[in-house]
Amino acid sequence: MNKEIAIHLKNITKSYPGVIANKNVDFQVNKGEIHALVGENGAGKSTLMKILYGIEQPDEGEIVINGSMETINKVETAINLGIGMVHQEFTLVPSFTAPENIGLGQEPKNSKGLVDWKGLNKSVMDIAEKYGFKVDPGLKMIDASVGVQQRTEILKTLYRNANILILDEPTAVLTPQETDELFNVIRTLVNEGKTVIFITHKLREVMEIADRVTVMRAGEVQGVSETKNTSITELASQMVGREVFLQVKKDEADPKDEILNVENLWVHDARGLLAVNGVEMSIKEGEIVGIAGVEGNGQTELVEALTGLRKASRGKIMYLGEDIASSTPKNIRRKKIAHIPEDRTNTGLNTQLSIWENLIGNSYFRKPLSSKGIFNLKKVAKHANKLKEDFDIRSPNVSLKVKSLSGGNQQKVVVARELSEDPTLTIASQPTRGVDIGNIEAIHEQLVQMRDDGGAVLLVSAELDEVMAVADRVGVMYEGQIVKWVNPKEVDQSQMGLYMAGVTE
Amino acid sequence: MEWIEIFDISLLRSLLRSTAPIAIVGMAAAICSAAGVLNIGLEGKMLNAAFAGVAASYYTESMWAGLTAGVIAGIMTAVLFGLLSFTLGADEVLAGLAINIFSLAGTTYLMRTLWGQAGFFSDPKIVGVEPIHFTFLEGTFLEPFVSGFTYSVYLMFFIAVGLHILYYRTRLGTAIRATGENPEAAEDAGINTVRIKWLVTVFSGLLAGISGLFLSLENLTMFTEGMSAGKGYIGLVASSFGNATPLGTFGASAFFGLGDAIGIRLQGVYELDSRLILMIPYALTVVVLILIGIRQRLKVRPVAIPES
Repeated sequence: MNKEIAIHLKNITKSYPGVIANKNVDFQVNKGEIHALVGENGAGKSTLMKILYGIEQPDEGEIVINGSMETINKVETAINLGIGMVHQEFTLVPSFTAPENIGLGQEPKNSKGLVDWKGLNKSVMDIAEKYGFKVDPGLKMIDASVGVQQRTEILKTLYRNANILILDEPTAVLTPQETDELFNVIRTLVNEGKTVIFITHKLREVMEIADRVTVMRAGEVQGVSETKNTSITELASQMVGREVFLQVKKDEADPKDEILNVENLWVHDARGLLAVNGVEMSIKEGEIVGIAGVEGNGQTELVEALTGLRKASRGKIMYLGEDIASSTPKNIRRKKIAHIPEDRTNTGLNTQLSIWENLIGNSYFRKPLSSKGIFNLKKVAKHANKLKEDFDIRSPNVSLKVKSLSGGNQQKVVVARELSEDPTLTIASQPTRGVDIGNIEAIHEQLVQMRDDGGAVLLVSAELDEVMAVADRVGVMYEGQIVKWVNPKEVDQSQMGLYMAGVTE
Repeated sequence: MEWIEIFDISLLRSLLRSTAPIAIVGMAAAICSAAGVLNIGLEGKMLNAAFAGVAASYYTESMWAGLTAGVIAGIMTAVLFGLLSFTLGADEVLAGLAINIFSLAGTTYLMRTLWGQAGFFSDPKIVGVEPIHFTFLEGTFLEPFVSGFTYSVYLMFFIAVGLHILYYRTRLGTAIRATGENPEAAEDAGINTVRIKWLVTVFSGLLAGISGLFLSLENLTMFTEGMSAGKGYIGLVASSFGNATPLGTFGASAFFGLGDAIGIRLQGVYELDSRLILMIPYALTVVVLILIGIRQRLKVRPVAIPES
């Protein structure tokens, strides 16, 4: 088998301040194949594709396209080399039709210098027909389904003569039926000689559509395999990584009264798609309940609904016997529910403000920190400095901007603020993301401490190791439902990998 | 019976004259709005153009010098708006408001210091624009309909049709609309959105200048303090009511013009208080804003939820 190589990224290294996004990455795609690039968020796959598409420049390494070495320093260069990318966020003009969007900026002109709309429509329809797309040339994008919008984006790359198509998590926004249609489109593209790079973290889809798969984790390539010679289990363990198994010291849980009971919870995401459909869950005081699962299976929306940041569409959230499903974030906090959000810099902190201001974000309105709307700065300083000591926030003083701290120390500010209010229920979402090993241990110990002091903890994490090590009981979330409850001591990682892919027997 | 008397050819002529300044500045607002520029500063551009037109005409005793100066003043004010908004990154609304306030104060100040006049400035040396008479139409039934207007009345039809073609039949027009609706999509297609915004802003200055000149050199031959009298804002409302399309804006402007024209006639027939008549365009503005609000509410549709 002598296959032509369409893309060869050699020894790519790219680092951002404080993070190495790609480390000596070697990535090779054959001409005419469907190549899946998988890995968790932050594994470096987006960075790698940005380098290929000219959005980012590598610190080191070479790019070889169709056998010749290229420097791709802007998107235009990539497009001229026949590379097209369909981003997760579509770039379409809502009131324009598919042909108007596809031809934007390069509309054909007639002899009078006016746009030749008929000619444009015809060439778009010709391309659509060649690749088996159904296109309604009169339909405005604002009235089109997400699937149609996505096909329009794909057609746009084909209109610009792309031979290599990068699809960035294309199924994330699609319904199962739309996904099937997309797969048919991808197969047709490949039959017509195109090469497709398919970025995803849904392993079942990889097995269904891809010829070969490259797995990335923590900026490095973990393995390249042909899908017919591998399995979901193997890919899951490569993706999640079984080497680092964090040990957490803790005694057997001693669960008592029920704190939270979630009944048949349904939540829609920002796009109006169903993200959580029918979650049932119970948390008792004195236990840590973990939610495992590949990201994007409804965990974010579940946490947002529990904390009042997003309205549930259906179902009940019973907290100490009271339904808080339609309550506000502030009222929920008043009932002693703490929230460590997954997005530290946007939701968790105001990075432009000082450490002390962030530390009192949930308690500033109360005595002794303030009285009649005026801060007692001495008490505030004492409170902030105590939290800095207790939670080991490494900073010369508490008046510095949070922005100046490392990721781990920023996270400690969030954790300190949330746990300082002595919560009955702590909801921790991805609490150790971007945090170094030493600080991860500290945060885990604090969560266990909350439990031992009689609190209830919900730990949502895409890090399987973390959930398995910290939680006493683990629910696996898949496509908006908790498909399996397990005791982390009685199940191994490869079994968990199957559950995370939706295979429950 | 008296109602019948109101609707005659002179009402139509009055309608066209009232529509011209609003339609021209309205289409300036429309093209800015189509490109995603919220141009509140049209009022100031009109005022500066009206003033510069009178000043240049007065000093040179030339109509063409007046018109040229007025258009340049409109464009210069637009460039100032662009510098504040696009180059220095000021908020567009604040930049527009600043220009309006500055223009009102500035023209008033200059009028008082240059000519020692307060309130208004009128002088025989100011050469205004004469109506155009089509001699070949004399005596035909068309003459009362189309002859004897100043140039802006004719120009507004050309601007409306020209902009319509620009919007829907040219690459530039498509690029303008894409920039306004989804700048990222436009940039992705290789369109320089900042350049588009500059282009429509400068063009809006030209149109606002023509509209301002209509007030001071065509309709009247004088300058009065704040003589734009909210027409720039009414143009914005007309653009909004017309969905920022050229023909829609033109139609909405004609609605304002009709209100104006009927008011003037009513004054003659019923001897109504002139202050009541002067209120009509502003009262109509409120009515139109309410209509826009109702239309917006009707347009809201529920988010689609997939079957599960």
